[in-house]
Amino acid sequence: MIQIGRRNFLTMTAGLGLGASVLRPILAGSVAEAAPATTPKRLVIIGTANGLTFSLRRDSTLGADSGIAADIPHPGLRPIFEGLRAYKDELLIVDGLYNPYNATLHGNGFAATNLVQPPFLQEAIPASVSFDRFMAGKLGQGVAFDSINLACIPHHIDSMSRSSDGLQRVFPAEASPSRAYQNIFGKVASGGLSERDLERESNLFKFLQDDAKRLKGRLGAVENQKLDQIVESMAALDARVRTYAATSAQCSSLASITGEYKDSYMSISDALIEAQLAIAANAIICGQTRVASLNFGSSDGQISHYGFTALKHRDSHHKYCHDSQRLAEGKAPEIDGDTNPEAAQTEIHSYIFGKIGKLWGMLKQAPEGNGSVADNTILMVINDGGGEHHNGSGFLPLVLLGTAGRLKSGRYVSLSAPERKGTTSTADVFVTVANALGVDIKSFGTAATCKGPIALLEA
Amino acid sequence: MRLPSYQALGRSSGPDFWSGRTSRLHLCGVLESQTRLKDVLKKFPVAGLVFAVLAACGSACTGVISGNSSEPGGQLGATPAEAAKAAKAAEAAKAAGLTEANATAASGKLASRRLRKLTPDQLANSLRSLGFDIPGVATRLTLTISGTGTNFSSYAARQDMSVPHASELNSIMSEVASNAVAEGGVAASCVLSATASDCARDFVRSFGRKAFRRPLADEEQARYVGYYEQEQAKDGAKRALESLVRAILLSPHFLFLPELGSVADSSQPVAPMTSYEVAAAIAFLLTDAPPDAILSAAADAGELVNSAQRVVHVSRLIESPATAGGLLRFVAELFRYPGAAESTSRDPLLFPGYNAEQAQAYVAETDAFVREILYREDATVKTLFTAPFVMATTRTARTYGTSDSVGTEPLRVAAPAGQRSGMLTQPSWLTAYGRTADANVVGRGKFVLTRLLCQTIPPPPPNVNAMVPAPDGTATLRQRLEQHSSSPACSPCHQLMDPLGLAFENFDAIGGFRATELNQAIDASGSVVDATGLAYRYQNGLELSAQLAEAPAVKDCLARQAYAYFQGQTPDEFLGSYSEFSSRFQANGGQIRQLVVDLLSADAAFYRRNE
Repeated sequence: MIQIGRRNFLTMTAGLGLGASVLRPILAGSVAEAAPATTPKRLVIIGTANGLTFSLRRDSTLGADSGIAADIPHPGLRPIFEGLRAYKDELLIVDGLYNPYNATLHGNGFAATNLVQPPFLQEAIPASVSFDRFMAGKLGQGVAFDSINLACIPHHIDSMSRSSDGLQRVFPAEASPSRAYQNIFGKVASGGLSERDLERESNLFKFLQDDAKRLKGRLGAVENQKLDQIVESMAALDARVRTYAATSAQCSSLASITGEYKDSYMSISDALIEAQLAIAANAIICGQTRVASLNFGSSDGQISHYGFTALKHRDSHHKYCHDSQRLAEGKAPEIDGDTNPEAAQTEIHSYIFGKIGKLWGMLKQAPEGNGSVADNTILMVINDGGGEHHNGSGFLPLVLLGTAGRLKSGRYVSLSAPERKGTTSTADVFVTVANALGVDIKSFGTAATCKGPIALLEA
Repeated sequence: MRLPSYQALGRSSGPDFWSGRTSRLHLCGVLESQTRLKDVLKKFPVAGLVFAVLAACGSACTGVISGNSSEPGGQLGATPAEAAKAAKAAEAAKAAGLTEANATAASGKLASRRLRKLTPDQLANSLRSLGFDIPGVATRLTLTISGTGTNFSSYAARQDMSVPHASELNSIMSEVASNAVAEGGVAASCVLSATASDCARDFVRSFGRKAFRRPLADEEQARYVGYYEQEQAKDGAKRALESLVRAILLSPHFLFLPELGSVADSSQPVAPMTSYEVAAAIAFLLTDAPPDAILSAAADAGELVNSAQRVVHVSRLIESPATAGGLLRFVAELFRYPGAAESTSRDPLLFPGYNAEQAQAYVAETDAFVREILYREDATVKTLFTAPFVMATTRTARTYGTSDSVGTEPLRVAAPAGQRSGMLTQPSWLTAYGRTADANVVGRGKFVLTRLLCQTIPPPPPNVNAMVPAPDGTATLRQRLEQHSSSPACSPCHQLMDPLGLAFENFDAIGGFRATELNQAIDASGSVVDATGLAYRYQNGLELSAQLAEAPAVKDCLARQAYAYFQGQTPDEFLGSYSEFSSRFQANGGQIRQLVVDLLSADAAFYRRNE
């Protein structure tokens, strides 16, 4: 591996395709490169939508536990994984999973990360704590942002978040790279905070927590939950302020990242995705967070009727999803025949996995200790689609990159046969991933449907 | 033949999202529903006996048919413990001075002591009233809170204080505080004051009064002054004042409307809200902004605990559209027409030129239309559903086919004859219930059924493709929908929704009028019978609108929706207690403004119970 300094990495990411307009060095300053005594573990979760037709992800001749160390496309795997070719040794595809709480039509995407029964099946309302927020609580101590949550479509247009802190408590996603940059890195750019600044902010947040606590005695249990949320959020902001200065020194050479969502029929632009990838990667690399989520889909289980500008398709991801499934089932496609829906579906997923490969590449190029940041990171690609209506995406193909030294990768693993009748819950993978990242849990979500870590995936 | 009322079929046991309680959710028992459906259709062979199906499906298809429970004081399903608690609450309510009728209504049905979060618009208006006009505040805050789904923004149970939202609030209030201490700012005079602490004390008293919409208690004032002095010792007056302003504006007493009541003794089951709490509630519900000077003075005088006084102030505020932003918001959230501007995803080949600006123009026009109905017309349900005019601009004149000279501001023009009349033919509503290429027939039908008739439709059963087949150039939407709805898995529920949605088949995905589809004349006819036995037979959406306008079930539902909005409660929280308002609403011909006056002058609206 070519060793480059972290500061140089941050500057040269422009050369990785992010574009000079996206990244330009604006700050000077020394960058700490020494790895901490205990190397922190990180988690990146990428959410996609609309399911993934079985025939597009693997050939039925592929065995239930197959090595994929051969070049991708592997004889049994489809071209959609081409963008991960360079990382095939770190790739672990887990197929045949089942999410028992997200099996209805368009689903409630929060069920994909909550793993408990959502209160409303068809509305983007969380029932519990999402996996990323749970892991944020475990991995996020001592950094400015216990997790960050990014999206490609604004929250108010199409609830693009799968993150939650409990029943009805959505952890919103940020779809504006400009705002995300300002929030996550902005104070570094404006010169940082003095000791007195830190103390003042901390005093204020403590005063506000006290405000909320004083009201608690006058309200019942349900209303007190609101006050608890205030106290928790103010405490989180207090912690952020106190850790920001220490962690943000790593980010001092990061160039400004800008970009805004523009609503239209084909609305997710390449520039916006690239900017969000840069924010996620840099927030991880320079230590602003250890848990990052990036959503290509929405929490009601689909990218409604949106599409990717770079692909210049006639119709949306959602429509091609349905039609490629219809083709797979021997039915005629529904939409006008100006595009082969299966080819379009392949292009869409190839495009998404290409972007994921790019993000992983950024983590690979960021040095840490004797290796890279990627060595201590697991990237997980989940799909939040509903039941068979969306290509059986209740039976998730879940893609993992990285091992954190604890996963057995370079493989395709099918956990059930026949393929469409899963018996292993995605919760079991979450537990496996948590354990690999040093978070020792035996169950996640509803205990009755979680069997615990999957030995087959462990090194 | 009169159909059985759906209430008789059983009360909803659906989940109560906003209250945080999750109860049983019954899913469709398809086979059972098919059997019952056949039985019902044998008895009622008229095509489109939607509510016959609904009645049958009420227990069979779903088990979730909503008890919209118009039974006075109805407490279906109350446990003995709940009944005992309710009786105790009723007794206490009487003792607290509630009328007997309201005390009955209050029994167990009052909202608990609570905190109601200000909406982004309300928060922006509050800041404006304090002298801070920060551009884009409402939008910034909207991006960090969860959507309301099908509920109203006034629901008190919302929990929106996530870390990102708190961070955004902190960022906004930092800007505000910086403005406050800048030259000419509200706290600027204290920056250079020789007696900084005295000045700060006065500032806390006056600024706090406006921000918290009530005078601060001595203890509260001392706490804020103490905080200021602590910061001032290290930072000097200017920075300390900034911190003080942030502390006040990030307090739950500013960000929320506390409804704690005047009785500190929590052993009392019921307590009236204070005059200041009542003033704030009325102001934000009606005007979307804090109390004006007159209402504040009335709160100072303690007048608002008196129902007759409330009528005076509510009537004054509701008299003008300039002070009735909350009423307009209720109508907008009820019909959900602003949804047109939230997503402008339309197929550019089918709808060339359609864009966000046109969608926003549609919404602005319907805002203007509602203002016309409420303030230049008679403000009745009938007029809302049948008014034969539209509010056009140059951006949308083509949609209406009008040749009248219009400008950039919505101008009242006669609606094209036989094409449009009333709310359900407004392009904004039709677009909000449109898809990328098609009209959203099912969505439109579901809207009428659930929002205007207060029925409950369950989500599609697992693993059923509920998508209407896409256009194929040969079958009309009605034909495609019929293919789709003939599926045994789909028909029980779609027969409830589709005939109502098809009534608006003359309108495409962006609300444009069309007489034909695929060179065939549009068939928008249908017939349904509602749960009260009233038959609707119509040739198109205009005729359906006219019949809905006269229907008692619609007025009952709108009274229920208004009660939900103005009480900030979910239907499960107020079962039964809206019925007196519904009766009066029916009796006065569906006068919407009078309904709101009734709701906001009732005692029960301003008492809170202890949990």
